[in-house]
Amino acid sequence: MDPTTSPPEREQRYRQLYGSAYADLLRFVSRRVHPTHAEDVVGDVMLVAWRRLDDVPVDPSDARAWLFGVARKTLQNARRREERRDAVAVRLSEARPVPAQHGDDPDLVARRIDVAAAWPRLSAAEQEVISLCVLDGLSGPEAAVVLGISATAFRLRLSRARRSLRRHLDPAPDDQRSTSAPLERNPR
Amino acid sequence: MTQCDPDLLTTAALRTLDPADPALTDDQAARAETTLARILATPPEPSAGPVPGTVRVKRRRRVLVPAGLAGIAAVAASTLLVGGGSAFGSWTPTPQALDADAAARAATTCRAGMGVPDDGAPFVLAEERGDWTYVLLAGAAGDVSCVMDNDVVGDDPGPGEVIGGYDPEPPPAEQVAPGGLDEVSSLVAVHEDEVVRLSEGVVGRDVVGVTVHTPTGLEVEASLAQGRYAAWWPGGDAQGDNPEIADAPSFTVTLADGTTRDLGTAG
Repeated sequence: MDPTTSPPEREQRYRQLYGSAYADLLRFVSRRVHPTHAEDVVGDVMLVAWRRLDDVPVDPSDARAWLFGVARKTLQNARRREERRDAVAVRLSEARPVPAQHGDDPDLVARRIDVAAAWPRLSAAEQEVISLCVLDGLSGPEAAVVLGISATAFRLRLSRARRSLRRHLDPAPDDQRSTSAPLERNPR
Repeated sequence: MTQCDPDLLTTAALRTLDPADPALTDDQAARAETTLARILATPPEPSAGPVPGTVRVKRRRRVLVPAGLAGIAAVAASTLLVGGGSAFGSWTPTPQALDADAAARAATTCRAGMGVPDDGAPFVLAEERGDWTYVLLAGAAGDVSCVMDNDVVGDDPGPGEVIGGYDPEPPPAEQVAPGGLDEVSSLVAVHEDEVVRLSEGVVGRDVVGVTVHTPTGLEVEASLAQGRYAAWWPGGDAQGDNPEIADAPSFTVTLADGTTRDLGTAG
């Protein structure tokens, strides 16, 4: 990117970036911080992007990954050192049992409860890795850019995190099931 | 996009738990516009600051008691880019030996990752600790050693997938006194915000075992072969005040007659 781009061209490029990335960036941040705080973080990240526009990749997907990486660092820097790992933890909605409705797959309903219960048992790093793929919708290489690691390193971390989640979802045969409210699991 | 997880049910369930709203509310859109206007009114400043994530790794030489051996100047630093997490949850203080085939594949990956030509030198030490493989190679080109995830063994590694060091001029082994230990290489690496420590060196003739006592209290059993020892361990968060970065480990050697000697650190 030519750093001597004229101010109007620079502004136009930035407006395009802002328009295409803002919503995804807000969602990315909303998964990691309280909603009232998310927009402030997004504003900080987009200010960095304005000041470092020459560093932002031209391709929109790559630019999005770049922004997510800055957001991640911003969240970490805002925490005390001992809390930095938690800064990237991903929060989930509460999975209150809801009455089954027509069209709801009972297996999906049950799995949703189990995933919500297992999720807090994952480390922040494990939550982050899974979320980058499943919720934030990034490809392997894009997620690797966000984390500042190689694509293969990301693939390894993702497979480890999936194993960890699977272990929490499938308790050992002699474990007691948690005593939450029983679900309707009648096969249709 | 490649599949996140072959378990489609879990993936679907996770997506139903996404806390983020699928679309901006009117209020959020209005605030986005306000923020844009505020940012555009800010004069753009030139890009500043280094890109976070690159880490310099120092390779130091330290000599341990018994006295008599002078301190040796530090060798040239090697720079490593490593990438990571508490990926070391599976690490074990006691190593498992690798079979020759796995060791050979790890050696290939190590040389490729460290950019060292293949001089055909066989491995000196090869071990596994949980999901991680370590290999030490010694040849005409010098000593090279690596820590790598088991899944990378045998592959051509990408950036950050091999943690290691390269010493083109290792010291001759004859300098070590009987019952003594010379820590030739003390490596501090950072892998995904976590410290990785590697200690390698040579031992006296009658040393049959080495235990490393790390500053954070780990008791690491080293691998030994051909008068050399090696041990590596995860050191916790990469912060300036982490004792694994600032302080040195101490050692206990086990001798052929079954006795042990504690060796502190010096210099």
